[in-house]
Amino acid sequence: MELDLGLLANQVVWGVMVGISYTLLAMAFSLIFATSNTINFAIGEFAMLTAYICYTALSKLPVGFVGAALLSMVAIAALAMLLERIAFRRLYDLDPILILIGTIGLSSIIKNLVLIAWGPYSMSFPRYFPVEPVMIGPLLIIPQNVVVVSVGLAAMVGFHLFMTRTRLGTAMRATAQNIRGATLVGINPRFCVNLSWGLGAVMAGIAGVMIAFTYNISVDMGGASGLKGFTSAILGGFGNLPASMAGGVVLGMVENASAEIFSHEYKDVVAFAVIVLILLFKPSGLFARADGARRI
Amino acid sequence: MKMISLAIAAALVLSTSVVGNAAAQEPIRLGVATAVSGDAAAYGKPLLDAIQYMAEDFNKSGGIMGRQLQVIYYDDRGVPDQGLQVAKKLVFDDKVHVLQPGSTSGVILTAMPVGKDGKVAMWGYGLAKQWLIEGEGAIFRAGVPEQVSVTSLAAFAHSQRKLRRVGILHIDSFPGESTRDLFKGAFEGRGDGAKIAAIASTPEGTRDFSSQLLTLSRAKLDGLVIAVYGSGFAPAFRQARQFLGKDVVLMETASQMSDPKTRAELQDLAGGAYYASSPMTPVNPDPMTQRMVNNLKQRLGIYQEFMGRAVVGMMVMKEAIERAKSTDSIAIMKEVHKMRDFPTPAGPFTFDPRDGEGLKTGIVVEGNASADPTKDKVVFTVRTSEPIYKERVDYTRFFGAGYREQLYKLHKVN
Repeated sequence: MELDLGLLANQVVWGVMVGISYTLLAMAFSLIFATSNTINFAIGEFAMLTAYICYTALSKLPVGFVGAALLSMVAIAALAMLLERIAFRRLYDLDPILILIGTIGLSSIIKNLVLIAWGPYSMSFPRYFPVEPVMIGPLLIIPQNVVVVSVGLAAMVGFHLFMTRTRLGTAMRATAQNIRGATLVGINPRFCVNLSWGLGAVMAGIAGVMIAFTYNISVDMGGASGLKGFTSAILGGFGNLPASMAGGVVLGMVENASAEIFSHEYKDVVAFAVIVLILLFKPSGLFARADGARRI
Repeated sequence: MKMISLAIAAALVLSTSVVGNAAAQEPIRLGVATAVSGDAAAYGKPLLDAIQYMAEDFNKSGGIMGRQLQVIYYDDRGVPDQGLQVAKKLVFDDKVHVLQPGSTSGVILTAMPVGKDGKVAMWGYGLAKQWLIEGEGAIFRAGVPEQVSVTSLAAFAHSQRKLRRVGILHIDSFPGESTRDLFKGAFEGRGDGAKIAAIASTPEGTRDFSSQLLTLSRAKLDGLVIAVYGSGFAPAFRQARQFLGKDVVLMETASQMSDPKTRAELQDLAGGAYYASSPMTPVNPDPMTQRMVNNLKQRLGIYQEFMGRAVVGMMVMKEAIERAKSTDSIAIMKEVHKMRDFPTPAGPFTFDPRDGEGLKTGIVVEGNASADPTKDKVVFTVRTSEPIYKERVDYTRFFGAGYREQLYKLHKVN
């Protein structure tokens, strides 16, 4: 089989674009896991719910797209923090597997509530950018996707700055690394854990709106996206934010490159086969230290 | 003694006429297995509504052969095992004269043998070919099969739009692969350099088609057939426009563009795109189709293509019973087999004894640049008289040796 290098380059570039949304979801998984030791399988549903709220705000309120997106982020952060406070905080002493089952239950509840509230039909945001592709050398670029990816990258940079340059971010990092030590120096770990749920939900929400803007909004979008986010977090390093960021992009690239090299039908199979190999040979993740230290 | 004999004879004649009259007044029973709950209820309920509407209509205008039509239905939930039980109940307990054994091909395949065992005339509206071939002439189809719709689209792409390099994006399960094979065969078979230049498959549930469309974009296509179904369809369509540009003609084969919800999601992207459909679409200007659509909308508040299939099934069934002047299954089905150019809202019903199909009119609809599918236009209609499968229906078991030859001669086919 002759390999078209121009096409392969295109596939890799598009893999990066797709991978950015995985990255945001992976960061949400890692952030919540690092602070609360919880693998939150409702992350995908947080993404889906944010997309629905954003769509409704855009349709019903005179706030424009940016206003609707901001409103939906506030709503999902508030919901996640409330859920952590009233439902999950009292479960932290239990076996982690029970908390995990709890988040699967939460995911199912959110999905069914959305089905009742919005119905089974998929929807899409209005188009703000031209549909036509732009060719840059051999690379095929679509303006809308460039904007979406730029927003995703800006969110990642903003989040990184928040975590590294603010007192609150530093407090959250301290909580993730050593909860007892953080308490000894006067940090309120409960607040930090609660905030990590809110921030995680916002990261997932940004990914949800990006996915909805690029493809469409539907009840089943959360499951598939969440799984890709979870996979990216494992690939990079679960509980390690910079590693999770890299994991999403690598997963997107691997998927698209394998589609070109092997077959489109097997791109998911190849992606999950890579995960199996990672778990076998470097269980801490591709980009995390072998001691599995949590780092946000 | 003579008087007594005469009295007995008179009494016998009288009693016979009373019994005969009662038999004449006995309703004709139509058994319907359909899904009114579960996932398949989306098809099964509109079908049942349309059947009941038609039965009411027949009964108001004198019934069938002067007898009322009684519809007996049970919920098969779209589940084959349940369909089997329902069919047994309808055939052996309710002793129906005609059976409609399920609203999906899967249920029909399981339930139809019950109708064959019970010697009941049958009709169905699933679109798989297996049950029609295995039905051995005891069942007819009241829908336009995919083979007709897809080949109509291929004919349109080739002869009207003059496309020669077409690509196919399809899901990697049976419906997508079947559409791929049908379109490829029909399109390339028309010759003149027509070629399926690239094919890309995708797992069901996919929303990101970037890798597939990048591959397809390299093939310099002038048309693309999208065989992606469900909530993935609109993203596939939108991305196809993005990756392939506006000059590539987009086509689809499952009439998804005629769904108002999908159109709302597609927004103005449907302009200049085409879809294959059965003639029972609301945009078909044919007066008979329009009359049916308007009547159903008026009475039931909604029209869906499935309802049209039920209407056609009821029309053909009534005609066959009246021609046969009997509720005997063999007599009814023989009349179905004789039908030529019987007018229906799905085009003329002409039984083809080779493949067992009656409806072979396919149409192609052009989408308009709005979210309103009622403004779409029929741009191409084609009717085939050729068999659409390689398999041939074997009538021997029910209709005896020599019946096939008789039918072939009647319809002047080889």
